[in-house]
Amino acid sequence: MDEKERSQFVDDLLEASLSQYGNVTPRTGLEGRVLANARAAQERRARWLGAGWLAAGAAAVLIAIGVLNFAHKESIPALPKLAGAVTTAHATDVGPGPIPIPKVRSHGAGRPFSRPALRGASKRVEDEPHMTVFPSPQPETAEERLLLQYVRTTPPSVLTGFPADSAEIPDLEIKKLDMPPLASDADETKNNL
Amino acid sequence: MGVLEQVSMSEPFPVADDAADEFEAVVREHSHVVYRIAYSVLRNHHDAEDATQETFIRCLRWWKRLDPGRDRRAWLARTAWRLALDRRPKRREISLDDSALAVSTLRATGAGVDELAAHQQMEALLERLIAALPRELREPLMLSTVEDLTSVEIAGMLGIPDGSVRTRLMRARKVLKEKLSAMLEGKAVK
Repeated sequence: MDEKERSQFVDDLLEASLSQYGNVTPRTGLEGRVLANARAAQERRARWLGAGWLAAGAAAVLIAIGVLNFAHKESIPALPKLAGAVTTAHATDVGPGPIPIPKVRSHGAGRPFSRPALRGASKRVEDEPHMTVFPSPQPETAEERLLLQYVRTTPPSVLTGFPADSAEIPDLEIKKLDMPPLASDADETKNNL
Repeated sequence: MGVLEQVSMSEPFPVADDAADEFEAVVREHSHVVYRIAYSVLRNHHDAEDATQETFIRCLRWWKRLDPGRDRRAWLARTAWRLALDRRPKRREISLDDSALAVSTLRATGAGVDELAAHQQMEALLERLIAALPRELREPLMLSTVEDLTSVEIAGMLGIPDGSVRTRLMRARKVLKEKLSAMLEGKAVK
């Protein structure tokens, strides 16, 4: 076999081998298996998605309940007390005294939690006449007037609780303190012997 | 009634009916080329079928986003190629001696081209020769053995120009021919 024939033979062999190399047939029923597998995968995915949505819904409900519970706990006690305390203090006219500043629990960056109540309270304070002295003097109440009248008309002895004609207590006499110096240890030993 | 009809009628797809029909048509049309692409890389029927299944599952997952106007065949071919490359086991140390000796012995007995090409030892030898090629020559050659693929499709899958595919194919064949010729003459091949 000369060089040309050998070269041609190798060419043909390579061509035939490469054709054989790529000539592959899948097992029968490949399409059916692919479709069945795709269907199963799709159903699995749908199940996972459904479970995911269910879990997400449950989590959302739990979070909503938690938030509502927290908001209820925080807002219910604070709102009526603040508003009520300020209103009552002025409605009954207790008298001159420091205006009670409601303590408001702060949240996070120090912001008062119940803004509406504070606004209401400050509005009521602004309604009062502005005085230069603090606490601002208020007109006397009926109880105060009665108390002043009682003080004016009642003798001081009654007010203080001591009888007017009680004998004077003599001055106390305190004896002078006399402390002799302590004897030394040597003298004491000698005396003991 | 074929397998496809039995499958499709017994349990409908969880997707819309028209989409299921379309998907089924795509599977029917392209499953063989997808399988051949996977097999060209993996050289194993079981692995090639697994890669084919995975390719179509991905196709179904991306079905809504896949533009029907686009070439689905190209998308499937590219996906099968990448999946097969990911699944390919690491290259082992290749020994050509045994196969070369067997082919050389066959040749000496006067076996013809077709007889030699159909022989199992020749297939094993070619497989090892192709695996020993550099990557830029090996990949176009492996895809070119898939009958249904054109050089344009191979270029699209590899992301290189069509002209480069043809050049690389010529170079790969030249290298293979030189090695095969040396083996048939009983020379050692690296």
